[in-house]
Amino acid sequence: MSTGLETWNTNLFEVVELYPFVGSEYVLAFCGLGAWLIWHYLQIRMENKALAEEDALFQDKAKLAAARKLSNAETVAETAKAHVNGL
Amino acid sequence: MDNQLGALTTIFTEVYYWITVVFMFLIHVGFCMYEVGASRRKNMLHTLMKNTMVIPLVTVTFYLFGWHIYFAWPNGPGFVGGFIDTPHASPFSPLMAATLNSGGDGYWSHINGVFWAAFLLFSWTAASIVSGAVIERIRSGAFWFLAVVIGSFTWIVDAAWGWHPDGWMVQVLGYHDAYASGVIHAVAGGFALGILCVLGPRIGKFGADGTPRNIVPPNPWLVTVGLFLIYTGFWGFYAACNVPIIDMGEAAGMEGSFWTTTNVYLTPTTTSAITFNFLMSLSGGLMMGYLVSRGDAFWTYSSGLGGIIAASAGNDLYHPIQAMFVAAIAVPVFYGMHSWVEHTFKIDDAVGAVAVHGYAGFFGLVISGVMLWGYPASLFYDATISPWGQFAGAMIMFWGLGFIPGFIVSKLLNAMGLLRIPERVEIAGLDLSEYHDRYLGESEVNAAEEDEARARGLI
Repeated sequence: MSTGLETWNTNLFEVVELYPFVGSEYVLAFCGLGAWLIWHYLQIRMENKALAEEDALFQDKAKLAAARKLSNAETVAETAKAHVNGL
Repeated sequence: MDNQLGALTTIFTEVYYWITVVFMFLIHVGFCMYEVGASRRKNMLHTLMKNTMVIPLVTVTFYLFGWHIYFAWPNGPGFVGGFIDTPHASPFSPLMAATLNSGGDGYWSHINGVFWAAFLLFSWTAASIVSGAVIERIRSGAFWFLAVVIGSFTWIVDAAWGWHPDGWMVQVLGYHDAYASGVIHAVAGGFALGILCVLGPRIGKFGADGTPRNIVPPNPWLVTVGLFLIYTGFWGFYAACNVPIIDMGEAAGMEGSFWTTTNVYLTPTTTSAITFNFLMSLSGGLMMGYLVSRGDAFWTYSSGLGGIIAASAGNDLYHPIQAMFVAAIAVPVFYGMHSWVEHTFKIDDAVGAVAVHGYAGFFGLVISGVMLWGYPASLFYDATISPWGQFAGAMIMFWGLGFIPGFIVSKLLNAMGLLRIPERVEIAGLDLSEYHDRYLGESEVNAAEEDEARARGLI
């Protein structure tokens, strides 16, 4: 029983595929294609949700002003201070 | 692989391309550092992740269809023939995986993966060029989709057309672009410009009267190290554009062998020639960049890069001093174009990518048509290099396969509301939006540390 090769003691010029499950190349390619497309779908859904939540949060002008100050803070101390005072 | 000389030639070529891939990885490291250095603090992680995820997405898609396009589309299809059968480049082929023998000599078993990877690293570069231009306001998901379009489709279509020994542009136009002034840089610059036209500028970039404000790179040291790493990786890029050892005696009609290095068109050059020209064009770009920008570090470094890019189309054949002057002359052209486009069309190209890659690449193609006028473009076809052939090639690269696809795909993404970050989130900062837990954690740790220090009587 082997998923691919059974011996190295053979005429190596006749050995072509080294990977297991030879014959599954089409299935593998379509699985790879599906994984790529699904990744984009999940990522865009995740990003849309996060941005919608943030956009809703920053409808509050005070929170947006505080967040902007926090984002532009130069040091950890300024970040912390901005947190305490605003967000 | 049944004799030592054949095995040495094959495995030397395999290792050669493998090393170029490692070098070219540094281009991507450099782009990450450069773009993060040019991003304001509130957007740094967003910029970093945007560029990082180019790696897996372009890799997977270049495996699935990019490599196939390069070998299947040299005829257009439809310009000088149809699709070409690609037994080694289809994702269904055993040769796109671990194999020991192919066609009796094992050559493609050893070469296919490293050759694919070398082209893949060009793909990452094309996508990364675009990445820098659009920082601080594009949605990650939109950019990653656009990265696949440029990285695994449009650039490799142009490579099939103009960077393949049998490409229709080589056959018909006499197109010559040895180190990718057009096929990487002009196409990526044009693509970036197409996106920028739809994406719009960062909030605050332009005053009410339309005057552009200079958003200074907040971390010039990271920008500097990033650009030096891109220079370093560019060595691998140049080497990867060559075939290191091949017998072209028979193809040249000689009796017997003539072993040499060739460019991607399988016409002869030497590694020494491109080393001379790489360094001299870098020097010409840096020297002129310093003068034109009055010593601005950002533009001096960028001009070194732009100088190489401008000379790249003919750097397999130029004299080193010619390469230096071509690079130097290109700098005021792309620097002036950047300023003119920014002022006239209100285009916010955050890192000057359209200028350094797009305009420099376009200029490099056109000037090479004059410098190399009448040279044979190919070993196999009668076409010769000409100014009009190179100009037509530059138009195809920058506008046809660069700007137009970038503009159209961006329009579609914009129509679906997927292109640009909401304005409130842009003002707050993209990192705060996506990684606010990290910021909150940082603040909590700071406060806890202070409490503990007080409890211990330390402060």
